[in-house]
Amino acid sequence: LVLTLVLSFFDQFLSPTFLGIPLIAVALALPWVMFPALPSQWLPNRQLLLQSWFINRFTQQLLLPLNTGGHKWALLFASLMLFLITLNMLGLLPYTFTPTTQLSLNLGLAVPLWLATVIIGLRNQTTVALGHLLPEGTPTPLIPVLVIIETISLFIRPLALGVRLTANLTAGHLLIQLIATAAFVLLPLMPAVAALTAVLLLLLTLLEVAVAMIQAYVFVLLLSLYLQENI
Amino acid sequence: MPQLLPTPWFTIFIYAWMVLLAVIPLKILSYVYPNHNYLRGLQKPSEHSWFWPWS
Repeated sequence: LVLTLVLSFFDQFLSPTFLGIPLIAVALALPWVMFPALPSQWLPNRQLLLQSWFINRFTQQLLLPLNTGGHKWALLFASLMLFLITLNMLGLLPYTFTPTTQLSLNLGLAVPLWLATVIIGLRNQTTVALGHLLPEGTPTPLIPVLVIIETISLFIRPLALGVRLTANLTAGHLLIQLIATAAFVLLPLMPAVAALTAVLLLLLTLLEVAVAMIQAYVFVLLLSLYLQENI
Repeated sequence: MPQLLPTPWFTIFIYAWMVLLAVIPLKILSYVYPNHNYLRGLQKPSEHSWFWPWS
């Protein structure tokens, strides 16, 4: 009985369907209606102003350490950031599905983009890109071992990028569901403990809001760092 | 873990990239930040003033 209860907590991450429509398609398609196109006015409304300010400042800050070649990636990074932060934040609403909890989506974003940075580096500055595999000042006997270690760490990067986002959001959603279930179950039995659990749930939800934003930012920031090494 | 079920993996991958490449950049590019605001002022408003049909 306990085993089935525990396993059913993961069911929230099953790609849901409703009336034959895979809801992940809806979750991926609908959020962008919240970002309407700017009308040709000097001063748009408050929402558009906030959104355009955010995109502008974020892109500017992200592109600061990149050289001119890296600025070609500005649109992609801004799109990716908007994509991830919107999906993460919307997933915190009740009864929504978070597509970024799906490993397929996160790995599908991380691997091609990481591979693009590596290929750019190897194509344009082969020696420098290969030189990243050996840190400066390594004692000579350690060189083979260190090259192997650095190669492994290079190939771990896309996996880490994808799994980090998936794991953070999955764990957060699981915790929310667990603690909410606990508060709900405890309510008729021990109301005081249930109230404390509800307070814990509130704090956890605040944490998950922060995690949602931070994880989206970390994903894009790390990609920009990988690009910085290679461009 | 349901995330590890391989069935919808490719569909989700393709669909997410379609959204990321086709939908979002167009929306982001629409956020223009004109340096020379006088260019916006060159777009004249409509010359037709409002009229009441019964007068």
